[in-house]
Amino acid sequence: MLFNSFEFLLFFPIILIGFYAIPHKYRWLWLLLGSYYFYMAHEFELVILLFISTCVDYFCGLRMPTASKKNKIFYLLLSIFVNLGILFSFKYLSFFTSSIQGLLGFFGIVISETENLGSYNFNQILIPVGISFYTFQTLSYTIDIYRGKIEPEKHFGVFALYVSFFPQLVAGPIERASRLIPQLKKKVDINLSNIKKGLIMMAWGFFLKVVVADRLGVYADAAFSDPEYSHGLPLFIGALFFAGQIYYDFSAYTSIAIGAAKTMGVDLMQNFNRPFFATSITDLWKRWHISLVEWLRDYLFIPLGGSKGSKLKTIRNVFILFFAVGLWHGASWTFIVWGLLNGAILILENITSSLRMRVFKLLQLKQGAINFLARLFGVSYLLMTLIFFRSPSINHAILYIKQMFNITGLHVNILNNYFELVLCFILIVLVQTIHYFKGNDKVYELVTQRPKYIRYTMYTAYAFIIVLFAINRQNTFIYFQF
Amino acid sequence: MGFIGLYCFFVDKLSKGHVDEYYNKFTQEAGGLIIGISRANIGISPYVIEEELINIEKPIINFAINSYQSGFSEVYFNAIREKIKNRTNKGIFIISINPGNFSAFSNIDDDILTTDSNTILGKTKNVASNPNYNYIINNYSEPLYNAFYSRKPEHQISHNNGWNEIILYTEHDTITNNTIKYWKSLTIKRNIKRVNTDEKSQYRIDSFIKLIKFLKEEGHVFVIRIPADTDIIKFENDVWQGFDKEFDSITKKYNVPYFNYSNKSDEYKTYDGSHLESESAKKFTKQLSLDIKNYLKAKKYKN
Repeated sequence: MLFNSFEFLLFFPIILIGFYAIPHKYRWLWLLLGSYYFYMAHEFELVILLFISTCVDYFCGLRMPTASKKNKIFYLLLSIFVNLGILFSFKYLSFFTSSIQGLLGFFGIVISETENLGSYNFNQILIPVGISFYTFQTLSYTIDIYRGKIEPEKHFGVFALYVSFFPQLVAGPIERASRLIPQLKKKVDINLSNIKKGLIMMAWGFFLKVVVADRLGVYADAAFSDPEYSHGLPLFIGALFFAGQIYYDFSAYTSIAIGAAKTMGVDLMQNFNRPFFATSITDLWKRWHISLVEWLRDYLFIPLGGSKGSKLKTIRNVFILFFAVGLWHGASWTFIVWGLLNGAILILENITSSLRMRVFKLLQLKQGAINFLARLFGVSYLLMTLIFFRSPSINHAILYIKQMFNITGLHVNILNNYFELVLCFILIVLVQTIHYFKGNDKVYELVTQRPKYIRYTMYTAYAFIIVLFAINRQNTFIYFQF
Repeated sequence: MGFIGLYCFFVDKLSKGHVDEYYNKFTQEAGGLIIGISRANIGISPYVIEEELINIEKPIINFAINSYQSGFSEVYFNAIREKIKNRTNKGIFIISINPGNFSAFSNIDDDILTTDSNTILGKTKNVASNPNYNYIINNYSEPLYNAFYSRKPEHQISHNNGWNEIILYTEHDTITNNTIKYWKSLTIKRNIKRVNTDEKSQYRIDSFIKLIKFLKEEGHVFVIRIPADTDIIKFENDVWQGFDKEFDSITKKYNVPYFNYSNKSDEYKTYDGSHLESESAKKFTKQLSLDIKNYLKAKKYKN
């Protein structure tokens, strides 16, 4: 089910009213049924994978604390094998088989499609929505039990709810059991202030999605569809708008997820912290998709040795980390290149930090100017690398970049709609200003701290803005596909 | 409730002005139809047909959209059947064909029904209502502020009978020969690209035959191939060798005439290599109407 759908407008009030209407001890069941319905409304059959992950991790987690060291490792490996096995089979198998075919083809060994592991066309495998999110979430649970950081959850229903909690099931944030399970078990009384804050966050998320992200997406889609027919500024704007689209789209989902959870007394973690105000690429990756980066840091980067070993080892670990970041996003070389480009700049930034400081000192640049330059560079670099993220192939991305720098005129609007173009820029400035002052997580303060008559004026204005300015495409959230 | 009320209010307001280029195709029942993809959408004027063929069932509606929306399919078939269900006399049905009508994305045949159900025709359950809220709610993807500020394309007139006329000269702007040349080059590039992504679909051919069989019971069916730029026609004939022969034999088998105008392409002008500009569209439709008239006359004498 999409957050931005009519079905959700019916579903959510029913869940919320039901949640407060039934006794605490049955709420887990209500939310669990609601969460499974939420998932099945989108993908009926593939819910079985979610259930398998849940059962295996519940079983492994339960057995681990009392098992011998050898068996403990066995249960951990079983959990990893099943979860990553499902993820690999459904998300990456087609990519790896075609990559191997390509590699063999490079050496002159041609395998026809029918010889490709039988006659099955792996491209036909449907990728279950949100599989990367819930796989990582449930994996962190068994790893944390193995590490002795948390106790296993004995209540199967509560554990199943932890894996499937509908606000964050299909696009995160990727929560840890230590944070989420206690909140799901806690008795929640009706708190009108929390409900109001939650609903405002949801409303903000809807605005970000249907008015801002989808609007930028119209232009970005046009720019990326046929870069060979365009050049210069339109493509530059297309890349800029795609950066905006993906940020606002994902941020919108997160705001709705956080808001929906908050109305039920659950505080989800922040996934974004004003990334476009980052003062370096390192800083940017501490502010962008925080739950994924922290997950990979804790369960991949640090176990590999992190940045504690030699410089060469650190470089290797950073590349592995960003290779994983890229691959997590999708089974395609474009995502991998995007990840590696970010890893490369991070290493470069690290290596040249003292040199840059010396240059800034020599030029007598003030901290404000340095921060401005760093932000400009950070956003520009992000924009360039995201071209790979958005493009269907590496050749397409290279062509896009080539055409983007082919500046022969100043005609900027490939959609021939200047009003919409200007509106896009106004919306970017508006949202960035709000995020600058209120952060990604306190947007509700814009409303809650106002007098009643202003609040009601804002609600009315909001209704008009959504109805008149929404792009009516019912687009899915970009991160659903991951 | 407030949201829904506001939404309904603005949808109604929008329906009273210019919605989009295809909206008028869905606002009335038809006595006769022009069926096909973009070439028919732009290249055949119902006004001219109604003027030339006085005794036919009216109105004639141009019900052709484009190759992604109205390739021959079950969805198109159902919409056509719905569109003519209250007609009293035998109608005129002009089916325009070219290779684009019969193409689909490669390997899509398995899932073609799902793809088609997501087209305008698939999403619009009510194909003949004025105002058509069903069309707007399901297909209109622009912001609703357009209810106040309607942006019509400079060179395109969307007529009430569904015809989208492309005019070269407006008060403020002219489509020059250089622009036409440039657009033609883009059309060629796109066609080359499509050859790699699309393929001939048996499902579309079967749907075409099913449509002929059905419409034959409802009136007079004419299968035609609209002229386009000679380079584009040559490209199409190279990609699908024997296209005309193949469809000539299909139409013969079902006893409907096939008027092929693709070999008269140098008599008409397109604005992008593929679609006829206004004057050529009128001239072509006049010729087509005369040929239909003659055919019907000959058929009458025969009987």
